[in-house]
Amino acid sequence: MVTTRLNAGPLPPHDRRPPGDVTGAEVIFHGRVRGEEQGREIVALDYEAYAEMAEKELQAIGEEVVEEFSIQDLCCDHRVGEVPVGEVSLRVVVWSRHRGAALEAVAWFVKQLKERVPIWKWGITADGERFPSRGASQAHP
Amino acid sequence: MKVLLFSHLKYALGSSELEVALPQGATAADLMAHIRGMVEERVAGIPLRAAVNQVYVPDDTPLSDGDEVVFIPPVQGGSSW
Repeated sequence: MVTTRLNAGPLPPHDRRPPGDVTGAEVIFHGRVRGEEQGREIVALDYEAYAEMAEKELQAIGEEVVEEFSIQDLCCDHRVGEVPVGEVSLRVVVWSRHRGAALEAVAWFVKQLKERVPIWKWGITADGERFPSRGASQAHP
Repeated sequence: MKVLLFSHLKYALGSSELEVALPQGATAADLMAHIRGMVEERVAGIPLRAAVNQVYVPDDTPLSDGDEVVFIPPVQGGSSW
């Protein structure tokens, strides 16, 4: 069963088991906060979410991935709020029979997430200034 | 109707929410133009995508009293690997 969650604090440990004995691949993606945003040095990112819609979009994308790719299951945890540089802000786990489908599925899921899920990054500098990130793509799909 | 503000719009207007009264039959595009007029060049060049009641909608969607409207600036960006 596809599971997607927003987490207001550090991510819980990954303890989901593979969905069955025919699982041959488990791909885990961790997104971490870089120490630079838009060319500026930062100490943290603040992830601002339109939470109700973000939860719906995350779940919808997860279910689309299961339909589009030959994978068995997907679990996604996304942090919201302030996340210090170096910490994990996103974890995606995909299980499949063979590695190819899982690797493709995790890449597609993260791409869709970053285009559709209303979560925005605010950079936070060492002196406490907060600025909204313009995002990498500068355009909606 | 209630407009929730995030990211650049929140930064430009210094608020996370607005109440806006528009004529009956107004569309998401009308409301977007109204909001852009309030912030002018502070969001110039930043594309906005309308969502009504937590669903993305076309700009010509008519709005109703009681709708929750959000104009969504680009989210986290998807082009950098």
